[in-house]
Amino acid sequence: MRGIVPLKGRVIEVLGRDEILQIHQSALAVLRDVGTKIQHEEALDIFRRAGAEIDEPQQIVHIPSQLVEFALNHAPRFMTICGRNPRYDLKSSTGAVHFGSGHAATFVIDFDTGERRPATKKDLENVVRLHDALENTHFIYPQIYPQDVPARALDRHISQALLCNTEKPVVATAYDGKAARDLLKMGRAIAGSEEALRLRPMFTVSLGVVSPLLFERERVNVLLEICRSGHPFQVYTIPSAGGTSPATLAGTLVITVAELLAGLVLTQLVRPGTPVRLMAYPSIIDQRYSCFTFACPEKALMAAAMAQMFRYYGVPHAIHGATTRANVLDAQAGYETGIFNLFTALSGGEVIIECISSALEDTVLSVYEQAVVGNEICDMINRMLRGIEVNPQTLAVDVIKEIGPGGQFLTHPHTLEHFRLENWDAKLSNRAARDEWVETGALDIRAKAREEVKRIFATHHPKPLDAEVQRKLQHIVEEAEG
Amino acid sequence: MVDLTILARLVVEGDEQEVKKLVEQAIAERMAPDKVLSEGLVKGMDVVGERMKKHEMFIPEVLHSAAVMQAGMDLLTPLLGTGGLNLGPKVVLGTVKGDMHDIGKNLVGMMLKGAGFQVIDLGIDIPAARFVQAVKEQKAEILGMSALLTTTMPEMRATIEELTEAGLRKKVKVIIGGAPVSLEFAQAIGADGFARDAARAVDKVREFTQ
Repeated sequence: MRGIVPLKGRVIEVLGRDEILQIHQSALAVLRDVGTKIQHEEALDIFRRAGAEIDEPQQIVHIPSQLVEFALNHAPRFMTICGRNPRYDLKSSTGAVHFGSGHAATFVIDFDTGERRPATKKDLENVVRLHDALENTHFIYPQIYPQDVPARALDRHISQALLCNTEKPVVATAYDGKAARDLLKMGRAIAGSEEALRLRPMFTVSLGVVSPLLFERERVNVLLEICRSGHPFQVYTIPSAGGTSPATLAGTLVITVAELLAGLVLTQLVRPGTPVRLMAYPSIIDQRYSCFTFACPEKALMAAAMAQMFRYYGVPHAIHGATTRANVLDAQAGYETGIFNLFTALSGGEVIIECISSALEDTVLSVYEQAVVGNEICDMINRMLRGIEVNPQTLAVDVIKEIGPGGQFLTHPHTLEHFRLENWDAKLSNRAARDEWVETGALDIRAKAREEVKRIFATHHPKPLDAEVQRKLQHIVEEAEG
Repeated sequence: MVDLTILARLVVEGDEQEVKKLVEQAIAERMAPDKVLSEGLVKGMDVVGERMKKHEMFIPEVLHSAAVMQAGMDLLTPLLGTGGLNLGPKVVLGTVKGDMHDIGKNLVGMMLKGAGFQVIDLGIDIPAARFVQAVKEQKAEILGMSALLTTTMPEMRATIEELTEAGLRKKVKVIIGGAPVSLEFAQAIGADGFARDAARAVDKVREFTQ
């Protein structure tokens, strides 16, 4: 359960050094001259006391570069994401790439009936269990937003479903200050105490910026609650080129960087030293179909660019992997997931969300088989990230000497010794020639994935929380429902 | 005599200068302003709407045509109330409480104006009570609500309930939209209609105000 460092550190770079600096300078200029709108009196005060100029009625904060520097100096460079089980912990100091699940599907294809219907909490619990089994899913997001729970407690229900159905690190949800306090209560119940939770925070939670440059009141309340409790935090943004950010990708990167740095400054002013993950998911407005989309080459380019920006700043971070705009699990679903995930992984982003995702329809529809296909894709990607091992053993000159011209290597002990590590073993991808493939049922990848889903649900049971802890969580959820 | 089919074409092409010239000419020729509006400007936006629905025109181009149409319409509005120009039914628009997203809603507003409707756009983060108040004050025939976040969609149901409590439900048609919104959701909460994009929103509003 380990991430892999891409090609021993040789990552794809889409930006030159000079371009990185230009984006950085532009973001600083935006923070200073345009400012960010913070709809929160106490937060405005925190900025004011730190020396930022505030435009009063409009709640615009002009953040000087000294504050950005202060934030970058105090925010920890590295962050460990904990799972309930320490063997799933992910340390970001290694340069390895980690894959996360998808996020926010509201519909599912019923696994048994094939009907497309609104997603339920049970569906979320199932898909979390699935991700718990998929060996390349390193951490789990709210893949599904249940449609059958009261809206005022949606965040608690999601957090509960995640925390109860996996030992891997999860990203929980809290949409206002009270929800943040409830989430901390859940965490303390699981960890056993406040101190234990602080030592091993087994969830993270985020503030989503509203592009361009807007921080909403209730989300800032979440930031204050979580940071003040000594818990790590996350700030994410999803600007859309041509909609909530400039139509140019570079301009969208400027907005992305400015927003995330503003969020980082606030966390470090509230509690210097808070571990913070900055998460960038910039993409575009599809101007033909008048909608936001994640399934586009531009998003992959910006993800790679943001990986570079984050390495430049030296902060824990996340970028966006792949969604597909295919409405069914077809070739388009395969190639979009494959191409975008590979490119993004090669860019070296330390945490990549929506990599192994059950989602089709550009995150809207959850289909279990797609997560299994995503796992297979990321398995293959992992082999490519591992690269080529070059050393005297692998250069094998002595073996070549032994075998000589016209010989064969198949029977040599060197082959037996090395082939397993050198060759990727496909789990589900077809490798059989046609006749054997027909004999074994002529299954395409969709059919194979379906069988794998059935096998996982029949055999895989994540370690449940103690009954007492589950009761406590249930109580917190029910209280929130009122 | 101004050829209104040419005016319509110029709206589609987004030629502001020529559109204004032709509208001024039509006014000078004492052509009925209603006719200039419906057969020239609105007709042009109808074509834009059709192309938008078929994804043959890009949104920035659609917006440009809408702005050009508005420039032409601005020349006609002084003739309001002289018995020469009748504006279409009133549509109240807004993004629901807790939601700050408005690009889609703004596009709907522009396309509705392009189709000759009167649009009262309340903005973002609008609680149910304000929607109800606006519908009442404006005597609006249509209420359009938008949401981008799944978490704010319940506000749509709440607004419909408040309309019912205020005794206004039967007097207004409610249409909803936004990325996570669906026809099923519209039916579930008792909305009258759902529209996937701005051009379809215009169709729906027309259907309800015919």
